Formats: sequence, structure tokens, C-alpha cells
Amino acid sequence: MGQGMIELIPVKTHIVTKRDDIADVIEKYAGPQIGPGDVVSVAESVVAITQGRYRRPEEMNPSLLAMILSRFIHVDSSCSSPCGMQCTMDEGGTLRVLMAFIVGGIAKVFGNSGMFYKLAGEQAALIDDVTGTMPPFDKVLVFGPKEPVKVAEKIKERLGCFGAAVADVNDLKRAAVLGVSDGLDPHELSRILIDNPFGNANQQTPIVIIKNYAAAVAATRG
Amino acid sequence: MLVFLGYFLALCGLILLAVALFIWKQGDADFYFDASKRSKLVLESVAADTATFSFRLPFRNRGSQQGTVVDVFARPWLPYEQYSAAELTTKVTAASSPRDDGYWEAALFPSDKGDNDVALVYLRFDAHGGDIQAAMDHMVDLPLNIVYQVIGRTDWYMAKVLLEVPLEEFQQAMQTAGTQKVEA
Repeated sequence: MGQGMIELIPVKTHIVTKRDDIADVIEKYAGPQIGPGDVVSVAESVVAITQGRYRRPEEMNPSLLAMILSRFIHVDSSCSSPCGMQCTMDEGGTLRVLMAFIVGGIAKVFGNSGMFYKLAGEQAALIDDVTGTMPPFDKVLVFGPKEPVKVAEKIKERLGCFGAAVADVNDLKRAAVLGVSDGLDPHELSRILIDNPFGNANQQTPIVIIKNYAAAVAATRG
Repeated sequence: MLVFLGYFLALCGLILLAVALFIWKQGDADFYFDASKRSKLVLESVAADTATFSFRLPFRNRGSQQGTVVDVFARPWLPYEQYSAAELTTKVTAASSPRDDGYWEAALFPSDKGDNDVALVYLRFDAHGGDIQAAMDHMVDLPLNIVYQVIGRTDWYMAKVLLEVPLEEFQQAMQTAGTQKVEA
């Protein structure tokens, strides 16, 4: 793709809460800048927050199994705390997470790391533990968003843009596109967003407009 | 059949024992706010009807696992029966990422033999009669709880350390008006 044609524009917003609708937020802060050939990408944690998909540790009662399993997870993972593991079990199912733990443990013995996250359900890798999101959500566990494809379609329809995407991007050169509107290539978008144009949490730029995306695609296809 | 059951139960017992030993050896985060290392009180600012003091309180994670300090706040024990000349409000912030809104930003701290960070504690007195000098003349020894919320490998919990800021420190700080500042 002719990425030289593309321009990435981060958009600052207020602190988004569960009272907000993500399409309304994008329209309010980025609406005038978005053209018909652009793609709108939005940070997955912010979408999840608008969906009310977060929990306070104080409201949780982790099971004994969650307390035990979390002990065997690397300390840098969100599943390493009893609450993080309980969230994973609540989302993925206790039995599924237990089986993923057993199979993942055996796989790790044979040098295949990361199997637990592949088997325990997509939320296992998406949950942000306490400190994972900016204040005031630094004190809660934030899940991954629900139905990211539907969210992307809704944004596209509302803004009249070329497409929309819900993405999980960080400063460690990791970009996962969780949901895209029809016709977009999530792998291509991951490559475009790999340098984390969303910035760090305190920059409050959860929206990134990918300008001229349609023109770049057309140029590539000749 | 009974022999098989016996072997099975013995195996389960061994697994449980191994898990318990692993958890015991792994340990947990253990945050320690060291009252003995508290700095002397300094006067941050003073006006006709208000004075703000501060001190530094180092803390460290002396446990064996990384942990999160989710919240920290200061709770003074200053009932009006003992002191009614001024209203005391407090703020606590981390020296490594100071903020002035009284909000403690949750942060991860690895286990460490030295201090991980320093809590900056601010005490603001607003004189009821409009004269802060007169209000501070009636000051007493101040018992102050530093309350903190922790998440480690176990479920979240709250703990506290009780400090006492003696009257003499307030008097000395008031005499050094404008000459000392707490370091961030």
C-alpha cells in the first residue's frame, strides 16, 4: 500500500465514560476532519469503557481456583492477579480457563509459550489489570470490547467514512485490530498503526484518523 | 478398587502440597511505609488565613512479588473537642509522579531492597477565625493515619501506618515561613 499518501491524525477527547456513545464522541471531536476516503480507528479500551465493560476489584470476590491459577501466571500478565484471573474465568468460562491452564502448562514444558492465552478465550489477552488504563480507570480492570465489528460498522455508518476499526495498540510495537468494518484488511491496519499513533494514555487521544486510506488502496491496486 | 482410590487420593494430596509449597515460596508483595524515615515537617505556603505543610514518607515493597499501590490517603485524628481553631484537609501524592488534585494514581512497584518511592503528604489548615498564626498557636500533636490499598498476588487489602506529627514540628515550620520547600 502507498503508505506515503496516508496521514495519521490523533484526536484528543474528554475522559470517555460509560455515559458516552463512542460514535457520538468521534462525531463531536473528529467529525469535521473525517472525509469519505478516511478510516477511523479507535482504542479498544475506550470502546470497552463506553460499554461499561470494567470492574472494580472491590466489587469482586475471586474464587479459590482463580487465586491458585493466578499464582502460576507471569507477574506481567493481567491474569496474574486473582481479580484478573476471575475476570478471565467469568468471560471465558471456568472450565475452559482451567483446561487452557492445564494444556498451556504442558505446552510450556515443551517450549510452546502463550498457549494459555490462545485457549482461554480472547478476553484473556485483552483484559487490562489495575494500572492498565489512565485515571480514573487506573483503579479498575477493563475488559476487551464487545462486538468490535458491530462497533466499527456503526462508526462507519455514522461518520460516512471509508471504514472504521477498533484496535489494541501499545508502545511495545504490538497492534491488534479486533474489529473492522466491511472491506478493510485488519492486518494492513495493524501495520499502519504499529507505531502507536494513539500515544500514551495521558495524551487522551483514543481516536486516530487514517487520512486518504481509500486513495492509498486505489493507488496500490493500480 | 480401594487401593486405586488410595493412590488417587495420595496423588491429589501430593499435588495440593506441591501447590501450597509453591505459593508459600513465591510469597507476595508487602508494602512498608516507613514511619521512622518520615522527613521533618516543612511549611509549603502561608497566607493570612491558611497554611500548608508537607512531609515525605518513603515506602518500599519489601515482599517477593510485584505489587500495586492502588490508593493512598491521609486520615488525621483531630477531633474538634481537641482542636477547633482550623480545618485540616490532606493530600497525598507520589514523588515520582506528583499531582496536585489529591488523586493517587495506581502504580506497580517491583519488590525492592531500597525505597520504591516517596509519598508526599500535604496538610492544609484553614483558620476558622481568619488568623492562621493564632490558629497554629493552639495546635496539638497530630496523629495521622496513612491508609493504603494494595493488590498483589492475593486479593486486594487495605492497611495503614499511624504517625504522629508533634506540636514542636508545626511551631518550627511556622518559624521558617517561606524558607523551605518539599522536593518532588
